[in-house]
Amino acid sequence: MKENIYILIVLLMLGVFLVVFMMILLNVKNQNKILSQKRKMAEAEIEHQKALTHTLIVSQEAERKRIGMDLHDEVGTALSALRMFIEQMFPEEQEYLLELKKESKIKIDNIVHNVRRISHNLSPFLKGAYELKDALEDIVNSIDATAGIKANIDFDDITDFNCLNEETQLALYRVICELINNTIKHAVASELNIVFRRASAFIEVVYTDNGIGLPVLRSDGNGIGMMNMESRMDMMNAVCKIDRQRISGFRMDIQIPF
Amino acid sequence: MLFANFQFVLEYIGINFYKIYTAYFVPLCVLIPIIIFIPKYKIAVTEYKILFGYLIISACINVAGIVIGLRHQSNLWLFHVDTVAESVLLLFFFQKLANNSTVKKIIAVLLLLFPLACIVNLLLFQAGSKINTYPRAAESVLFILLTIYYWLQRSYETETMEWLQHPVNWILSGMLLYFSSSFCLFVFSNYLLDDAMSRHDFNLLRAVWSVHATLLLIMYMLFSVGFKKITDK
Repeated sequence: MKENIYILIVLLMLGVFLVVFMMILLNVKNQNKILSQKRKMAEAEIEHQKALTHTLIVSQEAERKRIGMDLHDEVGTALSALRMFIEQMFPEEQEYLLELKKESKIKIDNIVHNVRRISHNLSPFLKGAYELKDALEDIVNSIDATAGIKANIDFDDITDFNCLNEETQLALYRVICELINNTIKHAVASELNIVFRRASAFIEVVYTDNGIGLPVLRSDGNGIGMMNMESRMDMMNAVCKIDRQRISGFRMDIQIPF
Repeated sequence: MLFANFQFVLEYIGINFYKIYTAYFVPLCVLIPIIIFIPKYKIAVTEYKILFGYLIISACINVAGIVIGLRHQSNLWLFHVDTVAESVLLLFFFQKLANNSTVKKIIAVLLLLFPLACIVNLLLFQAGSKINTYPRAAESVLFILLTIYYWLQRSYETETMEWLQHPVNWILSGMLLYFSSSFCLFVFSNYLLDDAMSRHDFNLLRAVWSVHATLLLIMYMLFSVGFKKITDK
């Protein structure tokens, strides 16, 4: 009879152990399930944000294109007509009128030039034969001339970017512009290089400058420019790698699938 | 059957399996979590360091138990010392884990009252020649409640880490399994001891205590896994 109490106690201990063990197991399963659901929700939220950003960028580009075209076609044409009108005015050769005519034409030419520049900035591929390659060459030449930075661009054997759709070309153009802008504003660089290479399934872009390089990881996260670049990279399904091991200078490798 | 034969062979050559298992093997297994924790000491937070302190004191008490046992003297009074040290350090551990200031205050009061109650029990109710069943059982209930409270508290927070990756979960699982399973042994331990002494047969008592030793071993192993999971993140 007394021996039974030993068996009962051992059985009780094992029973409690099993119950507690099962409770812990259920708790683990439940917690992991909740965590997995939370992760799925967070991923869905990120996807939703990406889709929103994509829509925002697309609509922003469409609006820019419309304003650019309006400026180029309507304001540009109106200014050209005004220039012709002034050209035909004042047939008599009076000194002060000729001077006024000349001044007006110079001012109108300046305005036409500025309108074209603004419209090209808004929508780089307005002209029919004007493509990404031309737009990039133009921007590199303008830096060479104005910013005091020696800018080199090498397209290797790439003759055109027709393998990329218009949306991707525009996104690539904006990314390169943002990188150049960062070099001019923050890098204190004297030289920047952009090299394009075509591989079997993607176009590779290597952007480098000889500036001060990236700061040590910022505590406030990335800036707006960097976030915009990331969004455009996502749009292109591009893979981007920044070389953070460099002591000086900056290097970014981008691979854009086509 | 195989186990019985094995036990018989050990008895024949003069080695008592239960004695080796409960008096030497399991008490010395406390060194496993201690050894695992030492390289993690610098990156560990205060609550793990308190637990490390508890294991060090347990190891000292275990060694003292082995030495006293080898001299064929009663080491039952060590239960009283162990309960006081264990309750103080584990209450500190739970106080560090708690977020709620009221719970922290309750634990602070318990930190004063519980050791006092253990001493009163030793002086008035259960002398050093008996196992301190009352404080031991009360301590078990206390730690079961605190473990469940901690998990309840965590369930309201936003979880970012997988359950199995969190060191505290392993440690608390070890405590919950040990204290809840051993509770009824703690309650009846004096009764079983008296019964064994009256019959001059300690085999069944040893068998029951070897189950307790196994639970203790499981707790040490779960502590070891928990310590292994400590990272500096």
